[in-house]
Amino acid sequence: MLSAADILDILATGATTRIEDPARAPAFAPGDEVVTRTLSPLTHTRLPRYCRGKRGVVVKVHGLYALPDVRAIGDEETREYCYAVRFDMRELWGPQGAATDSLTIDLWDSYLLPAPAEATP
Amino acid sequence: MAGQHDDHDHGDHSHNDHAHDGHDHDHFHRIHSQEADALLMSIADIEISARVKALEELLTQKGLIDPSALDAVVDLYENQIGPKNGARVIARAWADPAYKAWLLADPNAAIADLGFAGAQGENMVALENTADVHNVVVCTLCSCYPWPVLGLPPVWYKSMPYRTRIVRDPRSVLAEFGTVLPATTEIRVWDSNSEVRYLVVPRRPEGTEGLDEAALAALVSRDSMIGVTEALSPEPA
Amino acid sequence: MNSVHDCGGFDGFGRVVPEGYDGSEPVFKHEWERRMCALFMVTIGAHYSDDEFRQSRERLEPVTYLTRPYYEQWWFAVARLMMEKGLMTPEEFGRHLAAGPTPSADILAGDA
Repeated sequence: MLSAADILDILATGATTRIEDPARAPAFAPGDEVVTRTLSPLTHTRLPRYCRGKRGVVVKVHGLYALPDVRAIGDEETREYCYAVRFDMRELWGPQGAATDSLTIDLWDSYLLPAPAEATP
Repeated sequence: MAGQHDDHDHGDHSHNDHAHDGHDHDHFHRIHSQEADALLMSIADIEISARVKALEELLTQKGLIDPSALDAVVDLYENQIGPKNGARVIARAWADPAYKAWLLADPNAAIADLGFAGAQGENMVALENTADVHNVVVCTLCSCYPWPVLGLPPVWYKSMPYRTRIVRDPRSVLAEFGTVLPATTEIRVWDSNSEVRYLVVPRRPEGTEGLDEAALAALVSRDSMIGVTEALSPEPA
Repeated sequence: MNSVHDCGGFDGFGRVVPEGYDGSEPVFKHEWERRMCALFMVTIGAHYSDDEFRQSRERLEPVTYLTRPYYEQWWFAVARLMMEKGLMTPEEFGRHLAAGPTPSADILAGDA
């Protein structure tokens, strides 16, 4: 059982699943274009419906973190790279999105595929 | 297809099917308790204060929790940690260009230098608002928020109106807060859905050249560090 | 999970800013919110992860999720986890709730 002192210590220290593993290189780098997968698990995911099957660009590599989808069902071991990925509002919402604006969201390797080359019109 | 325990091909994104191997139906049934469902449904309309008290009592009787630890947590988040912490970070960044550069490059270290760290602030990113770019933060799936610098989130941040609207039409939400930006300003919405926590660095208001850090901090509202408003303007002398 | 928690882009939820909002609000509005928030803080990590907690909250049926206050949703999520992790049984919690508060626990809870 955690005492008051224990819990204050835990909250002051924090906890993260982030690890460093120089042997594992991220699959994507800032500037890479990606497409999000379409997934509908019955269990937890951090890939919202509004950005499934959408094309975006990686803007930052956050590092290796637990994958929420499997951690929610007890897998504390798996780590994947997590990236900030930016989408144009028009990609997410069509013509009702503002052309000036964007949405950035953190996505893991399991959610992402490399974007195919744009089709020539 | 990669299983849950494969230890190969981690760098190969064509094989990263950890979460989605077709077995999540089994996973769902493994964690799901119909007895828990039935009990929760049967007591859902009993006064919530009685249900909270009963949970605290039973877990205390079982030796799982110490009520004095709950008191300490309430005091921490109600009286000690809050947006005044973040305001000190922003005021320092406004006053000291070297600190601002450090905050943007290594936010964990720069924020810890002022004494702020801990749960829900382990992996910080600072987002600088400029004349051309305005950042605003949400968590659409739950209520992720940088506790060490902002405390616990306000009700509107956790509400369905904010979570549904800000990702699709941020300008209308900002306008509701009285924040009207030029049509040419690029709005960047950040959906905070990972372990990374975002702190907006609002623009320093005009007419604050002579102010010290304490006076600057008084202009840094909680909402300006989420990005729904600008910082406050100084009172005319 | 494709439920109502995954709400980005939904229409029809109305205004964001509360009437009379001046930029501030109390951290907690009711004593039970204080206790529930703290119950979460002292059990997460020790008995469940944040991802398990989020999943438990998302498993609320949609009407409950949309109509119950934030910290009541936390109550459902934590109570469910305590039962599904075997830390209390549905039967014993139901019995404890029906019996009402015990005087000693009342004092411990500090419900002033």
